[in-house]
Amino acid sequence: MTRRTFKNNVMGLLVAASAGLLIAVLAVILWHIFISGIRYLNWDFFTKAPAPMGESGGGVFNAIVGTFLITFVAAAIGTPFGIFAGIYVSEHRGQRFADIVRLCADALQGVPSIVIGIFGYTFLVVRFRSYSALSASIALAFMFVPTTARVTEEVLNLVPSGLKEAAYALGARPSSVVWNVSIKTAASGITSGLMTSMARVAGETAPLLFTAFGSRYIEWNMLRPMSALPLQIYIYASSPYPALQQQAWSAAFVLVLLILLLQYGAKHLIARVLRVKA
Amino acid sequence: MEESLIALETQKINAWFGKDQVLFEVSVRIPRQRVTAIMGPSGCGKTTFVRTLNGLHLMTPGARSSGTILLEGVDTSTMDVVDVRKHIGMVFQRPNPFPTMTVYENVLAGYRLTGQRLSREQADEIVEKTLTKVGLWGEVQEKLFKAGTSLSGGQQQRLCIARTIAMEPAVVLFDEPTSALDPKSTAIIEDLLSTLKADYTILFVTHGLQQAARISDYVAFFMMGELVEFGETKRVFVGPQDKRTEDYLSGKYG
Repeated sequence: MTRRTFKNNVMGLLVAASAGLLIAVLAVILWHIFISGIRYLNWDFFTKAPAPMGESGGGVFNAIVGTFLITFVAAAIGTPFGIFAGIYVSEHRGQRFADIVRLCADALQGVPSIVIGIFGYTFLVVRFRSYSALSASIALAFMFVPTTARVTEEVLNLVPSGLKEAAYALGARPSSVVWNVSIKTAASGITSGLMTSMARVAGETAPLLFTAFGSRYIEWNMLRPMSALPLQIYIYASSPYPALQQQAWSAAFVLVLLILLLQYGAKHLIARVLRVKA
Repeated sequence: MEESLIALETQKINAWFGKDQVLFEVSVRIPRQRVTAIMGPSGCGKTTFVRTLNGLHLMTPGARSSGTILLEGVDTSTMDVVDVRKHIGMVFQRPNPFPTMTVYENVLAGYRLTGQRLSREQADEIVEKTLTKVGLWGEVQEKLFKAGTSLSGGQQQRLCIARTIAMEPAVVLFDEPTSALDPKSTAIIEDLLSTLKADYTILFVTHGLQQAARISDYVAFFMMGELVEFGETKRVFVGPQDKRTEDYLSGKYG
């Protein structure tokens, strides 16, 4: 073997091994969660609130409700802001203020979630003197907006300029071009961006610790403390009772499943967008 | 030429992209209901010239222009740009039907995008009439509610022509509309021009000499951003008055 082919083989092996490691890590995590989680899954787990202290059984329906409510309200608050900001940056490409907005979105994405949590605590929980699901949603919306804005901008930039020109040439005003051409053409891309953002915030724990706080009861009121799957996992996993630790695995399984479904849905939509383009 | 036969007139049009001047003092009088070919080598400013007519050149960042454009004697700078574009339609180099709209919706896109409401009967009538005009009705009658992008390239370009003339413009700008098409589709569109000019004033950008000779009644020859020569096609091709036109016609520049 010559020196050159030797080097080539070594590099080839390294690259393949790294790629393999990536798959292996995900596989180990998923497998472990699946094995540990599925054992304790039962109907009660999905439909009941936690059993009173000292009793066995019970479920995490309270946390499932909480995760859905908190995530959807965060998305409802964040979606318009994210999409509008994305439209602004895309429509004013190359302008100073748009560049600043984009830079801030990137910076906001990089703020650690625990800091967002403290922020939510200081400005919402302390001010309104109560932990609440709504303050959790607002904190998560801060994380939701920048990702949504960036994705929206990127998919809007992919809309062929020929389509916008065609619309302008027909006498359309800029607002009409944005709504009837750009947004419609980019709709499935924006939707998958929203789903990815939702998947991202659904798994956040740190902001919830200071805001939603958690609850043992099935809570529908956004103004009261509420549980969520990541919170429940955190509390159960750090408890000394084996039964609760097992439930933490099951909750982890449900959470991962939920996030993977959201992400798979997003990928599927992105694939559809690309097919339309081709 | 008599004043009443002029649909569009430009007076001393200059245009810049940033610091680069791309059009120099272009003054031309475009005859009504004729095909005028805008001809010249690549980069001579033909496309920029037609885009200044409907203000579309301003979509390029850093673009600006000066000069006067008279549409039927009215200075377009006194009109709302939306009205200018309703009167001066445009067909582009690449077919660009809206991918989110059906064939039917594409024809009516101009009404929809400018917020004009049509009754069902009006809409149906416009769609059938315009698609017939561009020779597409028979071909797409069964596909009206399929995506506009599902048609062939040549059909898509005719759909784009339909979308433009559905707005009943006075002038239609064609910016090298056949450069992305096969010879057969090109021939169909060239034939179409001879019927369209009964209703519309047509400006047709092309870099092909043969195409200009085949389709146009008048020709404007551009070089380096200047209008070198304008006249009846036959006269320009047979006896060019400017040395540069003669050189171009004899194949001296690309």
